Amino acid sequence: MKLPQTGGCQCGALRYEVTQAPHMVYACHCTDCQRMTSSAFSMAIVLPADAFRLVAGEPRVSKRTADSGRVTTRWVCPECGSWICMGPIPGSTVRNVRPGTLDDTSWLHPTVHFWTRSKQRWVGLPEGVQTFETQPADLRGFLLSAGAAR
Amino acid sequence: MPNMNGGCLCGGVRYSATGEPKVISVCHCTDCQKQSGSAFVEVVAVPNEAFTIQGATQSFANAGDSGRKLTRSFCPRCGSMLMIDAEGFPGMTLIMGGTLDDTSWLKPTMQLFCDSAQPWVAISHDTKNYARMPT
Repeated sequence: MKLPQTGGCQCGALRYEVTQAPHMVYACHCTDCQRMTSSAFSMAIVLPADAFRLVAGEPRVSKRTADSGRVTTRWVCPECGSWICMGPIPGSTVRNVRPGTLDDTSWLHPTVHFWTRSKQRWVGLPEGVQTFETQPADLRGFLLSAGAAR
Repeated sequence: MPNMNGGCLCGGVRYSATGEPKVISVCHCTDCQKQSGSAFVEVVAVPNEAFTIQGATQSFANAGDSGRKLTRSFCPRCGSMLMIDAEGFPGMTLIMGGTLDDTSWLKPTMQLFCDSAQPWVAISHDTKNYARMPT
């Protein structure tokens, strides 16, 4: 992959730049992610927090209380509805971005798949990937450890 | 008959469709990747008259990778994209499969725009595959 990577929403109102390689690329097959993406799973690149920069547009901030009770925020384009990334988490050193919104998606290879319990049956899992029936008990720690291991 | 009730993530928009879908496909075009933030979207095509929707939606229209007009409708609050009205599919509502309440019965028979598919995606049964949109 080349750096910086660029991306944005479908209509082009929101544009962003990624300046460092992700700690991890994962797919999540939970039912919320299926609904949110209109697809069979969501994907995320886990970036160092300072590696993401919005360069154009003003996102709509959509809040949701997750099953865990934690409130999550998502940045969505107010014009075309594309969900580009999670909002910044105060104090967190990572930032999750939806990599389908990158201009170049050809280099993406998720190495971890969460919530395979609710995976749609026709979606195959490539050999050698790490799978979780649900998700690690300490998901944030898991994502951070990937960062530390790099 | 499959259960084709569905809605957006926040529950602000709900829809229902009756009968059997005409086709279930997966679209790997770059617009569908951008809209979903994922690798593809699932498309469940039903006749317009079989489809009803409650709740306010917002629309975004552009020319798709095929060059024909597509109007995508999404929930203005949570952003979930619910359906597409496509010039290339007159009379049909293209439901975005991931927004169905029950997705266990979905079995796409066709893959579109395989030219731009993310290379790691593995679909584990036989489908008819098209490099772009069949004409």
